[in-house]
Amino acid sequence: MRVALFVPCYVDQFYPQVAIATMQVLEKLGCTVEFPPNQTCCGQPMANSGFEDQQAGCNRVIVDAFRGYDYIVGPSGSCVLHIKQHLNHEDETTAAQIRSRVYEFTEFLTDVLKVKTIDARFPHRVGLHQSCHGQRGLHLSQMSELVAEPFSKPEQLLHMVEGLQLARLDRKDECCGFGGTFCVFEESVSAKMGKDRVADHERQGVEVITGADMSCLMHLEGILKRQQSPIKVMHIAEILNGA
Amino acid sequence: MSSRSKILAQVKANQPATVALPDLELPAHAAQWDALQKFVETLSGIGGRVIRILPGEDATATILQAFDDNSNILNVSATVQGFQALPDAAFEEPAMLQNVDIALMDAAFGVAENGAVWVMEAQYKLRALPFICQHLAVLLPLQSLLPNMHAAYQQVQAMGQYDFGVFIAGPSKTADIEQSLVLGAHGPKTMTVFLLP
Amino acid sequence: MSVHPNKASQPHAELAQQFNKDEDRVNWHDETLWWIRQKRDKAAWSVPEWEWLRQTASDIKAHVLSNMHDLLTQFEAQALANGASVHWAADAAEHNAIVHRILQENKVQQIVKSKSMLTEECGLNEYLHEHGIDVVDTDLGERIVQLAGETPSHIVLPCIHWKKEEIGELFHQHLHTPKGNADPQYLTGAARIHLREKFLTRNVAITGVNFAIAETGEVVVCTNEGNADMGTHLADVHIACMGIEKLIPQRQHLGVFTRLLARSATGQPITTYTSHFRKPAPGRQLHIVLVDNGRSRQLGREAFRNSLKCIRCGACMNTCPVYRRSGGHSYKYAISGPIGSILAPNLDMRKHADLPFASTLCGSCTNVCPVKIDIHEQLYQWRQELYKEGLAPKGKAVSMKMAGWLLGKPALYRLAGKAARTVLRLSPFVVKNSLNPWYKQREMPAPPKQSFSEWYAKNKKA
Repeated sequence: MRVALFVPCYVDQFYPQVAIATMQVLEKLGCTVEFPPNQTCCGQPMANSGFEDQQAGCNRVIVDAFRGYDYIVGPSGSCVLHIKQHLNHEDETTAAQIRSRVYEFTEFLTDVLKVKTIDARFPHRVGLHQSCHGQRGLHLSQMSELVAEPFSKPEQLLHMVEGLQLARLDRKDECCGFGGTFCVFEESVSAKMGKDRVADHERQGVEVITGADMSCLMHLEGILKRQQSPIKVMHIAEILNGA
Repeated sequence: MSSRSKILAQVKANQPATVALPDLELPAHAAQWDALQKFVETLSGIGGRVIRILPGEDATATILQAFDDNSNILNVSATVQGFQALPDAAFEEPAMLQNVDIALMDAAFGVAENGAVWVMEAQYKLRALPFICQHLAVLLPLQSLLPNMHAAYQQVQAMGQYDFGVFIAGPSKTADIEQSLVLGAHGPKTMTVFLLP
Repeated sequence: MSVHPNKASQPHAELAQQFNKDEDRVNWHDETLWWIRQKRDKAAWSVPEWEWLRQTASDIKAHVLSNMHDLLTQFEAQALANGASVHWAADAAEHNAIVHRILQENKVQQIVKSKSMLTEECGLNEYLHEHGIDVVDTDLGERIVQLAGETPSHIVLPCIHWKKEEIGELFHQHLHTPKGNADPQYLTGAARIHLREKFLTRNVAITGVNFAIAETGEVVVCTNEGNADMGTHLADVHIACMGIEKLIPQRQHLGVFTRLLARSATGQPITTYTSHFRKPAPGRQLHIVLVDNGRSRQLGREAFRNSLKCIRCGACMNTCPVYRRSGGHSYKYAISGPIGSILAPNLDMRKHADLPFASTLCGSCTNVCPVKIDIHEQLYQWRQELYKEGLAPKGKAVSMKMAGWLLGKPALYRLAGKAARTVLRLSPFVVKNSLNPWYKQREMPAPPKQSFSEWYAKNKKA
């Protein structure tokens, strides 16, 4: 199975350890992982600001980088969702192929690799942040608004980790307020939302906040660090990679 | 061009191709309740009171017993006799009913899922009555309870046309001040449903 | 509390920032609304067929939108046959003029009005006030904001932003209740006495409309307080004002909507009163004002058409994490929150260009919506539309064009990334200052020595 690693721009620049962990977990699970070097960004920052047409460059780069792979896997639900919904290119056959083969890391593990056990140990109290685009967009877990059977792909994986204690949050799927450019254009509400999310995890006594989307975690990390909190953020791939 | 023609023309030009109406048949997993239990539980939960009148029981006596002050009961029900009658002058000047303490009337049927009862102006005669009284008392045949609003509107249709009809579920209420529930906003402060055998 | 929503001109972000100056108050506002969201969840879970109800309601409304012309004429014919008068208003101004004319014909200068978001949208109170008409809002929450010289901050809970102590003080000033009494039970009692006098003496009552049935020509009004009924049944003239999208085809469809409305709005199984006005009472008048005010235009915008399915339950506001932390007045429009942010730009794109950006696009609104409006997707679409119309925020346009250009060039992007990380490491003051909104309440991510691409090139490329 030839898997291309999709590393979103901010993960590449700020969180290389997340991409490394993603790659290593996939390799441990038997995938042949390649990192096509010419990748930049899914185009979401432009599109979510109303500038869909400004993402043409990104689309071109994505199509060139990911053409021909069996699967494309990335450690960020939001960026993956954006490619799934908005990748447009004159080579529609390739674009359609990429849209259907791109997976967020945890759903790739549960749905494609059908992972039943994971050789990882993490003896800590952990809070899971449900990122909205992963949850409500990719359906990584059931949404609290719906009258429907609950499930959670990230939780399913975390439960396989030895020693990990998963906390129950007061608001299990409230948005953290990152929201892409929202985090700077609506600074006060964004920061307040982040503070409130962090406070929920604090109330449950977590040591680590994890999630399947590094962008939300980057925002929460910024707040935790400013508050000089001992709580750390870690991408779920880092936990699943920890033996 | 009148606004009417202008609006209708623009609506016609802009409305999409016809979409068919959906089937209203409830899915198999729809809620099923014991109608009496659900009705009592729900109406009590929203601040109403349910009193059962058992077979052979004197309804008038039960109604009188239900209220501490039962001296001022205006009765428009066809089910029980007695009490005070609706004054003719009220049709001209409904505001004169402002001092009615308890209004007693028949309801056509009740709805288990939400504790509502259906009353029609033709039954209770004067539109303002169930709203202006301080306390509302309703007589409801036990066998008239319906499970949900779908069944309720089928029954409404079956009963023929009305000029004014209303579902009433409990006493009037508000929670506009800091979400604190207060019973008795503008209408009745209490609602009592007497379930008839 | 001093913000007058119709007069504020600052963008949402600025008003939200002002709202956030009092963090305890934001917490209180957020928690109150979250509590209502939880009540809504509980009510929804009590109905196993909830998702079927939502889909069915959405499908009925889809039919209405596709058949609106015929349903409107059918409704009009039935209403006329019932003895009602039907008026058509193309916009807010015409709506207000029609209402005023009815009042003049009846020689009335004092009226009562129950809650109607349409009349808020049309600015009816202000208009009538300018024409010397005294309007008393009779919904308790609306009366509170009216006494305070404000407009509602929420379509279902008009004074959700007011604390009981403040209401106690307001009532002390206007209704002469004892100073310092802030007991909701007591204050509601005082309002009951105050408003009962209005109900008993005023001869014209205005109401909104929750549903209008084409088949029968009747209008349905839902309240908990009973104020619509107290107003209309004690008056000689009832004026029911409705947007043309309030239509439903048949009475049996109410079975679906009455199950959804109150559960979505407040978690109640149904509103206390669901009143069906078919014919005016003998010797009395019923006027129905059908208002377009941009609705027929919205009907033609494919991406935004579904917003007309809205039944005004307010569930999207209660669940919206941004609304809960910015307050209804920060939206500067009668209908605030997520649904308001997709309705308002249809009326005035320039004025409301900030609203589609007042969202993280988290999607919770779409999930609670009882008629399944794809609210967050329409917010996204409005952003595209605003950009096309040249109404996107200026700074954003330049930076997004540069970003788009840079991100289309992988080699240049890697160079820029390396440069940026180097700057962050060597000269952190460049970004760690008050001009950087990120840094105001958040630390910057620590820049690693090498990017993943660099690590991969060194360690993995064989």
